[in-house]
Amino acid sequence: MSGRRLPAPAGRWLERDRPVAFRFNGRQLTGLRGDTLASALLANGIALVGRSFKLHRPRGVFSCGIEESCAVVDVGEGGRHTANVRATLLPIEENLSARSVNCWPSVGFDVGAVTGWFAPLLPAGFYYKTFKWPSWRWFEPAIRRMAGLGSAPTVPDADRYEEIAASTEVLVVGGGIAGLAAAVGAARSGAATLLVASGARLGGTLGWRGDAEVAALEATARSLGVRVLTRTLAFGVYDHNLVCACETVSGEGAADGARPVLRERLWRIRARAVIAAAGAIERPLVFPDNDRPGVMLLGAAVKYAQAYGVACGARAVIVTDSDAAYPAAAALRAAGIEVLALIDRRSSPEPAAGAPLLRVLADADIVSVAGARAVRGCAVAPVAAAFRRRERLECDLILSCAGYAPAVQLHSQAGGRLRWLEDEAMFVPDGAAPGLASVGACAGVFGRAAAAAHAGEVGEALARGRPPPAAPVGGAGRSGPGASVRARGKRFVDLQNDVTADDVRLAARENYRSVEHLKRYTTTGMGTDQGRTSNVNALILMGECTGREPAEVGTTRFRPPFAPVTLGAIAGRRVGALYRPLKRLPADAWHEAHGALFESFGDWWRPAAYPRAGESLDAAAQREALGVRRGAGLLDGSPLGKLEVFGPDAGPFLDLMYVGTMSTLAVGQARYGLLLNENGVVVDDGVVARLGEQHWWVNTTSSGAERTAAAFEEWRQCEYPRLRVLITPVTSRWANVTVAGPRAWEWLARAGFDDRLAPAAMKHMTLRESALAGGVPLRVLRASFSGELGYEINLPADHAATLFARLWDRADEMQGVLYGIEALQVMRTEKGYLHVGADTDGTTLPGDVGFGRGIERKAANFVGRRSLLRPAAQDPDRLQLVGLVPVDGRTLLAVGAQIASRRAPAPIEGRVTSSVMSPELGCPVALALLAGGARRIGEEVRVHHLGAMTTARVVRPPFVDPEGKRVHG
Amino acid sequence: MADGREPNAPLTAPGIEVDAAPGSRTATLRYFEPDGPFAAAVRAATGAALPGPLGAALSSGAAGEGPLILAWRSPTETLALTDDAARHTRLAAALAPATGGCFVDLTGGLRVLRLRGERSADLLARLGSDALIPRLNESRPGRLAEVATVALCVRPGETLLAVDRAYAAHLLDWIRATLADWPGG
Repeated sequence: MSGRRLPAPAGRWLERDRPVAFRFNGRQLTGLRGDTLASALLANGIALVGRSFKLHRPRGVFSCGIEESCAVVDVGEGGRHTANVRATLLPIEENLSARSVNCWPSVGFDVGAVTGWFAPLLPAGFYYKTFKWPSWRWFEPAIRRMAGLGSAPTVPDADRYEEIAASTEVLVVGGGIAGLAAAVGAARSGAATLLVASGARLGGTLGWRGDAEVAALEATARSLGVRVLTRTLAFGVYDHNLVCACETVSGEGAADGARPVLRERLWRIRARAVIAAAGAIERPLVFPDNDRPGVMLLGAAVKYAQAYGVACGARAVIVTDSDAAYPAAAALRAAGIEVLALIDRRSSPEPAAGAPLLRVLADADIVSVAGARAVRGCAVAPVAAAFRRRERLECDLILSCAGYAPAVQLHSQAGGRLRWLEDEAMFVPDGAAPGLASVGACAGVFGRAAAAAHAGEVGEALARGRPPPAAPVGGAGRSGPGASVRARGKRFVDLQNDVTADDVRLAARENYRSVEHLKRYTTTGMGTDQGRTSNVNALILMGECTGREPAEVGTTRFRPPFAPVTLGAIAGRRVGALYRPLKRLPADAWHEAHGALFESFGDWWRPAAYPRAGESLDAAAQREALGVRRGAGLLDGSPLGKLEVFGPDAGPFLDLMYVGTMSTLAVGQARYGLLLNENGVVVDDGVVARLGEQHWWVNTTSSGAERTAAAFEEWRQCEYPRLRVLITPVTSRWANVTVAGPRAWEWLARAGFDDRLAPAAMKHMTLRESALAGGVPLRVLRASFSGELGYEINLPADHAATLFARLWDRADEMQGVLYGIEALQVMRTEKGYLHVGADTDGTTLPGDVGFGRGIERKAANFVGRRSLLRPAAQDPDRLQLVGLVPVDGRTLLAVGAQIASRRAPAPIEGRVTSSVMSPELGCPVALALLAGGARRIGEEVRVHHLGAMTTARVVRPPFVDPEGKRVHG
Repeated sequence: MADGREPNAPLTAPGIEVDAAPGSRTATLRYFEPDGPFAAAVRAATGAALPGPLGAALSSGAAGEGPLILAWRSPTETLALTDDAARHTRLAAALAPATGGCFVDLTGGLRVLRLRGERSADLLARLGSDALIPRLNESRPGRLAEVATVALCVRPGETLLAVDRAYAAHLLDWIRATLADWPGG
């Protein structure tokens, strides 16, 4: 293969006066503005571009577009490294740096090529067999090291990506003549029309020919207000006509500076109607050694010549079984490339115009290809005498053409069916898909005039809300099956995955007859090219092997994405600080100024602790917890979920929602409640207080506010629609400043709080509405998650920082501390208080966590009640919440550690759910879910973690203040 | 705005300016029927009817009163936004005895951002949804930057985004990142 640049007028897309320097495998090369990496490499005479996935065979450029299976490269360095980019789609730019994939130490000398020696031992599905014998672990390291294509980046992406939403009446996918005609038809009918095209230019296969009709259609489309997005690949059709497309904003080489650039933009487009005009892909033939660098698609060589001014070789041989090869061969000759022969597998081809100028060898086939890293010739023989009367042709380029494969992927994604055309050997859409109609070559309409006319009619019909007219399928010429193989040698069906014709035969022999099984067993159709050049050949071969027609074999269902999409484009802005929405506290600036160490808990970014200089997080939590127990502390409890429930039926509704009975509460009283789902499983807990006759205040867990509100709404709307209840989330409206500890009230009193809040006047589990000076309303709840005297002061969020500052001004005289969520966890574990989500799982019932009697006492119905009556719910061996203390009095049990009578493998009896060092007791304590835990108090159990075993005693929590006196002050 | 993470100075880019709507008082009006006694009480107190689905209305009020915005949020909920603290208080008092619904004060719990400029729609599309581009006198609840937001428009050329206070910093950070890559910027 000896590529070279052709003189003008070849190369319409080139700017010949603008050379571009780039690097490939460290080598400095020069191309021209307008080149892709593939065309520039071919123009530089580089045939060997990469190595194959499994056998590490040398591979070169095979196509000229999205279907490329061989010329896949890694681009960029560090944070700008992109793996597996198709060289055929990558425009060269200054500073572009690309590398071959799957080769070491170089693409020319690849140690991995030794795999080829063992190829007979590595047929399709060989690795599935390694799962069976002797052990997959023996093979896994080598297979993982040897297989694959590009390498994943090791550092975060340096650039940015964004997402944009759009709506339109008609979306046209594809910028060829059919797409343009469809867009014009839709726009003329008054529809808002958006056209997306993957290439930088419109026109499709006519784009590089300076076609006047294309230019006129483009001008008309723009004048009619059609919005056009180029370099935008529509890769997926989803429910309700949502089409996702990826726009390349900055090229791979454009971001070589330190400053991040916007690399890609993901479009989420809602369209009333979608028109697919995605064209067709040329189908190759299967023949021995058809993977050598220098074996290409015929249409690709024509495009390289006409659009990029590149002759892919000096002496070409064309092999075909399709009429489509004849005009292409003539175009190639016209571009100045010598065509030694056109080999037509068919016994009686009907050559088109131009054939007389060609040497046509009918009823013949290629039986071997010479050259390993580049084509040096081929042997041709009549089909009737395949191994006897060979003729050697001294070519450096072999071009194959077996007709076309319409790009039906979007049609299939939309739920459309396909039908097989025998004469053209292709699948085409069988009518329109829901919400999507196909036009042009992807609909099987190859005649130029017919395609444009039909597309225009489809555009008009869909714009007017009418059904699209049927496609006038035809114009592709006749094609043979293409995949039939009549000679020996390694004949590749899927070049990217090294799937050979023998692999397909093996799959058939092993009864993987379904096309879905064929794909999974052989891997044909997988990878970055998704089998664009291999799928039809593979299923034709499978049909031959199993005595079925291709229509009977069928195709796999195409799924998004149509082509590889970067993870960056999918992530969009959701990286770094925007990875997920985190809720901010109303007083977070105040906490930051007071030394808070923030961590994410649930959806909140909140203080874990306030460590002093040199103090660890754990030490800070211990100090803070002890500070609260000995004096008093301040906690920002604002994340606590808050709902206002209003209405004449609010009480009975809350009775239904919670295990506790709420309707009997007097105004100002509060009660703890467990929220269950319909299976009786604990999903949240909290405190419910009554603000008025029809007005209730509900505290949920910090991470459970949305979940609880959604559950309330679902039950109200779906099951209890007659109850007149309004549920309003108010978590962010009300900040929560919690003051806890034996001196909590003293602290508040010194800060000027109302005497009505004193413990003597306000009992535990009561709520008072009050106000700060200036009329700032307060809702003060006497409740405690620390086990100490506690006040949860709810006030408007805008005033949270002011109240913290006001209380903190008195901290020194009270020896008060600020405490974070870690200290709170320490204290609630000491008290054995339930932390839903940590001490419960998706099976935990109220009885498992000590609330069995509450259920028995409650007469009224509630959500989940019936499920609690099932025998399984009464099983005494259920996992039940207990306390654990290590027998040695010093080993901190790990959260998640398993409880089992002996080392693994052994039946697991339970697990540790919460574990802390108790500053109050000076020893570790833990909570655990243990099978039959309630009747195992006093037992010793073995706790296993990472190979270590600790003996612990089962106890009944709480560990601190078992009489519960402290909460009363 | 009180929080340090929220903009004191407007965020600007060609064709767009984003700032915090000053001093907003917010409440949610909850009701069982949009045409029931509570709706009548709202009309009596504001002079404006509860807006229908996806509707928003500007009630100018009596002389000396600041304007009040009513924005539909769901079939049983309308947001009431005003910069006039006294009007907010009067509305709360007027609706306190009303039956069939309730006034829930959300002041401080809801942040309101203001978008101005001819490219506001471009920004909203980049925040995640073009379904939240409101026309004049529209209120569109949905998600922007992955957080629940109500986008509404009661004055030409101005879009308001009402977002939960806890998520306001996230929405603003997303807007900042978007404006950093703003086309034409």
